[in-house]
Amino acid sequence: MSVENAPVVDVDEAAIPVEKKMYYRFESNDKKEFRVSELAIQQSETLNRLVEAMGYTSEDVENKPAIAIENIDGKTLKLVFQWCEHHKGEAIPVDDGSVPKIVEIPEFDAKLMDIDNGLLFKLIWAADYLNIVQLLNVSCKKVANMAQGKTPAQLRRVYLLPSDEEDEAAKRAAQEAQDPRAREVEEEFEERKRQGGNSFF
Amino acid sequence: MGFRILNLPLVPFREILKMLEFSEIISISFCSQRCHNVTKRNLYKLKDWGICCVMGPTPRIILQKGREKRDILEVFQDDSLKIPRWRTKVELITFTRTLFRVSMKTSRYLTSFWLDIQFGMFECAKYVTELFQKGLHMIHFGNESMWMMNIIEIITQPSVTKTYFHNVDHSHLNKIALLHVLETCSSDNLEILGWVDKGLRRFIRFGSFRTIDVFCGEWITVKHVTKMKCSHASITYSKWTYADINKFLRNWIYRGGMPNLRWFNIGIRVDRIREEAMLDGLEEFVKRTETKRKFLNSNAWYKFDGEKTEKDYQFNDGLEIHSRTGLVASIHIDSDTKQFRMAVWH
Repeated sequence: MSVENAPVVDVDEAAIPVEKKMYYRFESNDKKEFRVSELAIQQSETLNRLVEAMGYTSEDVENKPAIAIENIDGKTLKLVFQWCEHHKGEAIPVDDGSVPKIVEIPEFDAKLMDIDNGLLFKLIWAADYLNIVQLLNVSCKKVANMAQGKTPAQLRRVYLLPSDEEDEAAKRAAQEAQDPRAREVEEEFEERKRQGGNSFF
Repeated sequence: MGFRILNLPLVPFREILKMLEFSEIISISFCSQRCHNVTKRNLYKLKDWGICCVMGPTPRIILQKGREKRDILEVFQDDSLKIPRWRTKVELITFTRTLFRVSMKTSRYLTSFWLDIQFGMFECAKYVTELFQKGLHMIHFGNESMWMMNIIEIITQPSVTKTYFHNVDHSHLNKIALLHVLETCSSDNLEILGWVDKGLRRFIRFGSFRTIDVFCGEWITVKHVTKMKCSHASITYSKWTYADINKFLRNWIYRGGMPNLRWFNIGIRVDRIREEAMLDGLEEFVKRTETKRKFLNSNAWYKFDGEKTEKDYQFNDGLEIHSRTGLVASIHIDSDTKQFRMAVWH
């Protein structure tokens, strides 16, 4: 994809200091390209360190290939960079260790995270991978909020938690997949039991 | 579609655990053995919060940080006829071969139902302390729930930080129950709130509690106090007069009574402050200084004379007494609250 055709995230240019007006180009694993301001990148500790280590000039940014983020798809990366652009320049929160941890979800973030659970999972994964503290906070808070007032049975449905029986069945299936002979032995045993045999051997 | 929380990387999973209410952590740990293990393994350390077993209208486990309290698990008699209408949905939980039912209370914490309420409380206390990997901080019980004192043995903990003996309905404390608490309590802090009809017997073999806080201490005699082994004793109301204070000071000066004592306060029954009556015959042990000494409260759970604050206390009078064993103590009587206060400088 060319630079001209890349989906560009909305940017509030007034908020960016003149001397730092540089946009980096990133490419998702499905080859979608994004232009992100230097200030927005600072929300991600991983990306911030990466661009600092690269030491790109404005010319390098335009002339060199986009920086590939191979673990994240375009749909997720778009959300991540939208969030970073909206919160650029904001201080990165420090965890004071108090529990239960209190996190407020701003209106913009709530709208941004009005997505299906599959994409929310990817967003959390990306926030963790790119080390974006506040995005991780708000996205985790959204997941934590799902547990409010739920009984264990309801939580099993909300968080897709297998019951003990399901875990046991999955464990057996995994064991059988590893050792096909075990299944044969078990079937033979069941057959003999049906025939009324007392002893397997 | 649900959210596959168990597939998350460790960091986000731990963040979510931090954001969940304590009662929600209990709920999620009840989902399966695997959920319990994963939750326990990744759960943060409870630093400021203490796990408490309290006897309210029903027994329950709460977490407490200072004055902040969160109910996390209630214990209820499993009698279907007694299950209130609001307990709409009851689920069956199996955990470590123990079967019990739970339902969500409107205030968002689980109620567990047990055929034997004592067994249920013991199991729940054991479960919560193991899940959070933290010992029990406090037990709170009254006349009818003396069995709660046995929790410490069940969860194999040497002692709890605080024992609180007080009837929920504010009825009079049973004398036999009170004696049992005084003689067997081995927790750091013992707090007793409630009235006793008549005095207790003279000789009490007090337990090994470090501090005692009694709100209605009309039953307490000088003999009782001098037999205590604790370092801090606070009695908000008593029948003591100047004669009793004088007797107590004599014991401390001549006999070295209460050798561990650091702080003592007691509310006395007097109309006006008469220092000479309090120190009658003890003049040679009294010294007046210009120094204003401050007693630092190193025990975060101890409150000075029922004020329910953990502030330090300053002696402005400079009135000191010296014991024969070489100890020095500052003393003061507050004219407003009629509290006699004494701090021993070790």
